Amino acid sequence: MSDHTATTTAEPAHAHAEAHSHEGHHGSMLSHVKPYLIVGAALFIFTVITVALSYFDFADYGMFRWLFGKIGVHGMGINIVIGLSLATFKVCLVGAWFMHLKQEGATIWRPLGLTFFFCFCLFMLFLLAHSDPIPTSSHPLH
Amino acid sequence: MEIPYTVRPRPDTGLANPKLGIWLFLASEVMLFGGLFAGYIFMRLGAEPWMWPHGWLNVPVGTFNTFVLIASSVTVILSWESLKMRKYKAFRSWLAATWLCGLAFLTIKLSYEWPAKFHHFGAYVQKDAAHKYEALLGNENQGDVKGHETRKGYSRLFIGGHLDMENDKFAMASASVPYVQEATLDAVLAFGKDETNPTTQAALFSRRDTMLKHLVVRDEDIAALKAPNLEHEKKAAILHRMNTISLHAVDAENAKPYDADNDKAHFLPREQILISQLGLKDNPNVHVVKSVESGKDEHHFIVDKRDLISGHGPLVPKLNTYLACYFMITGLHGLHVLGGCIVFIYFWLPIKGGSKLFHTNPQQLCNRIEVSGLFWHLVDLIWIFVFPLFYLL
Repeated sequence: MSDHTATTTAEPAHAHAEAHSHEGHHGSMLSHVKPYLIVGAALFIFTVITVALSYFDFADYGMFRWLFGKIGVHGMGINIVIGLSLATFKVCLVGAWFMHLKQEGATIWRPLGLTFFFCFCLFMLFLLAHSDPIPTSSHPLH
Repeated sequence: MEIPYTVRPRPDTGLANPKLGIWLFLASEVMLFGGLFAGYIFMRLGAEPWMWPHGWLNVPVGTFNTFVLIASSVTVILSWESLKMRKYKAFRSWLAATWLCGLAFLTIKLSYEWPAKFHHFGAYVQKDAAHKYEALLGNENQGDVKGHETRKGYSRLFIGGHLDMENDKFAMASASVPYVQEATLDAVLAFGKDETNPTTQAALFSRRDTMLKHLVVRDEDIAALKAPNLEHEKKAAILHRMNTISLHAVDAENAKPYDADNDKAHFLPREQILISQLGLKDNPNVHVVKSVESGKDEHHFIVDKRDLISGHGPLVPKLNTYLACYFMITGLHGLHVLGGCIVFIYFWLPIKGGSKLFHTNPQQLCNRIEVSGLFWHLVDLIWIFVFPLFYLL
């Protein structure tokens, strides 16, 4: 409460000072936003790559079958792993640059780290089905 | 009451309260969508080969929507940067571009992608009955267009097609009615017939009419069934209509019995010439029906409901797991897009809590855009996973 009272009077001056410092130190807007434009372009390019790779059946190629077979991934699973890896990379770009995670400190990273950990556990839960398979239904379509 | 630390960072956390708040909210959102994605992947990997729908969504449209969302992620950050540089006009322009992108995304979803599903029909055929529907399933053609063996011995059991909602309303409505035994129909028709008390009989007849409406989709058929001297042949014909689905596709494009590229099987085309080309003229399940609208002959494929697994009807969530996941996840994501657009429009409007704040407390407005921008990036981030999972894999 006290913070806001202080800021409503003090903030405009502080804000203007910040604005001046931005213009003074970083020059034109274009140079300031260049990293974001590069990341945006990379996201467009990786989207095109993801779409292109989806028309490619990796399981038809011995090298991919052998490579992914080592980690127990077969058939359509290879395409799924590759597609999701690309998506994860794109997500990292958005998180690091657009969401400024590469600049954030422990206050944000700690709860976020915990979230990623639990989310990872959630995604790994389906591995339990391999050790304790669900009997196949007579109507597998539903 | 004023909310503390909306502009300056709190000394103990080193962050302004809204920023810490939004990150905790985003963490909960990650868990929410993480659970849904984990469930989807579990079911996708557990599906038997060739059983998971493929090619049901329009990839170019999905790709375009992905571009729209990525572009909006760039524009929101440009809006925030403009605000930091105290460039009011640029801030408002980039913010307008952001919510316009959001609305464009939603428009494509609401006007094309979701409704298109309701104009399609799908049915799962029992394995034992698959041979009767070979003309629609295309299992004899096990190879793809290049002649490669792609099906690996699995039989397609799903037939689907693009229906004209208005002309095929009886086929669509009939699909939701279960198979009815003749004895069941007789029992319904006999309901209240022996009642002597007129008041009770009227009440029982009312219940009979309700039951009939659940079984029979055509009003004229209901009237015929209630006639005092119902001929057996007429009843048999109505029973046949109740227990079969009469399918035909509205366009030749979507009517190939086997589309190897998309792994789609489809209903019969209307055109006589295509029927001949496909060698289906003498198929016992193909019937010539005179169109009520045009008066021309049309080819219909008659599907017996007993040959179907319970999953048949329009492409809506209850048809299969894929559609249930698709509508659930994209619907929830769409709601997030809508929420983001509303917030951005509020900040864009020249009102006290919106862009007018620039003139009194620009840093607070800057924080607001940063926080809502973080939410918007998460929406983009979720779509980055939705797109390959549902459209491509």
